[in-house]
Amino acid sequence: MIGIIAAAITGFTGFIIHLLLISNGFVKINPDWCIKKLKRHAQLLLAIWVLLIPVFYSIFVNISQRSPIDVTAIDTNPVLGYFYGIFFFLMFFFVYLTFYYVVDRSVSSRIMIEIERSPNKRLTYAEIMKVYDMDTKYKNETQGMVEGGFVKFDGKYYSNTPKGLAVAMVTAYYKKLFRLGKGG
Amino acid sequence: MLLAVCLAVIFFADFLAAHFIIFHFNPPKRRFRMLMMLVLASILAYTVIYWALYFIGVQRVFNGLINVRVVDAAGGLAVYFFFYYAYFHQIIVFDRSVTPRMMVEIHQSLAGKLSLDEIKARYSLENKIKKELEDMDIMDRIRKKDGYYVNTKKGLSHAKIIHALRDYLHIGGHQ
Repeated sequence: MIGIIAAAITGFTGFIIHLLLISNGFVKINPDWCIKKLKRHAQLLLAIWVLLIPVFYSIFVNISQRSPIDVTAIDTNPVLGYFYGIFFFLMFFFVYLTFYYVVDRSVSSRIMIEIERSPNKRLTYAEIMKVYDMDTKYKNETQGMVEGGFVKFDGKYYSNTPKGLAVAMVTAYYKKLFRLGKGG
Repeated sequence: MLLAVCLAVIFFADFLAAHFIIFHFNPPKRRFRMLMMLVLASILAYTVIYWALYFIGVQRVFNGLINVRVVDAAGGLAVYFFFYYAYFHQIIVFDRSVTPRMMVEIHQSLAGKLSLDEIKARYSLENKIKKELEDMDIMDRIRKKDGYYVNTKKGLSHAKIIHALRDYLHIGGHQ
């Protein structure tokens, strides 16, 4: 349990450092960059993660030694242990879900598959666009949003539901905060 | 604590097996709903087994195997990595997801609503494909040669794995 607390404190500290470095321009991230901006975020986060490992260990040791509660009793408590296991299960599931959605929905994966399926294993841009029908893609995406309850369609116009509005506002805020540009 | 982590690993593997079997032999229409049902079923099974093992005294045996402080520290380190993974993943989702971008365009429009043609004018999926091709070139997944896009070795193995999983799980038909 102390490990999770130390991880939460150290993790939160790292996220604040990440945001401060980006917002103050100490680390340059141009919203017009493509994958390069995500690479820059990844490099920065990895560096912060590695540099804060000693901080994690220090917090863990300090809490263990200074806690007024018997930490061994906490670690062997069966109820806390039960929820600890559920937390780990959900953690594994979340990580798996990120890979599942790459398999299910990744545009770049679809393009590579279509190239591989083609007779000469190569495609021009025009051939990719013919295989990857844009009208179908727009239809699938808008239909998905309607089915998911994010937008409603009145026969001509799409408008956000409260759920979609919440997603839109959070997304717009995060795109500004992390200097991601319009994206999509 | 060690017992709980071991059971979490076992029941996650059990979830994966059930997920692969069901999606392959009886593909559900509502896939996310099925995933959630499988998660709940796995948690229920974990609950029953965990408490059964606790009451017969197995937890005491596990607690004696490795020092609980070591398990706590290792578990904390795994969680520490997970927090960063989740944080970075959310940046990717906010940057590259299609539907949130559409919802933002609808939200930022004057009337708060857009027709399909208006969505297409504000957010070009053709430009998205062009950017994806540029990104794949930077990431060494494809190469452009004489006007043609060709998979690199990395891109080819990526394509084969994803294609095999899509076929086996009957997913990926709507992207």
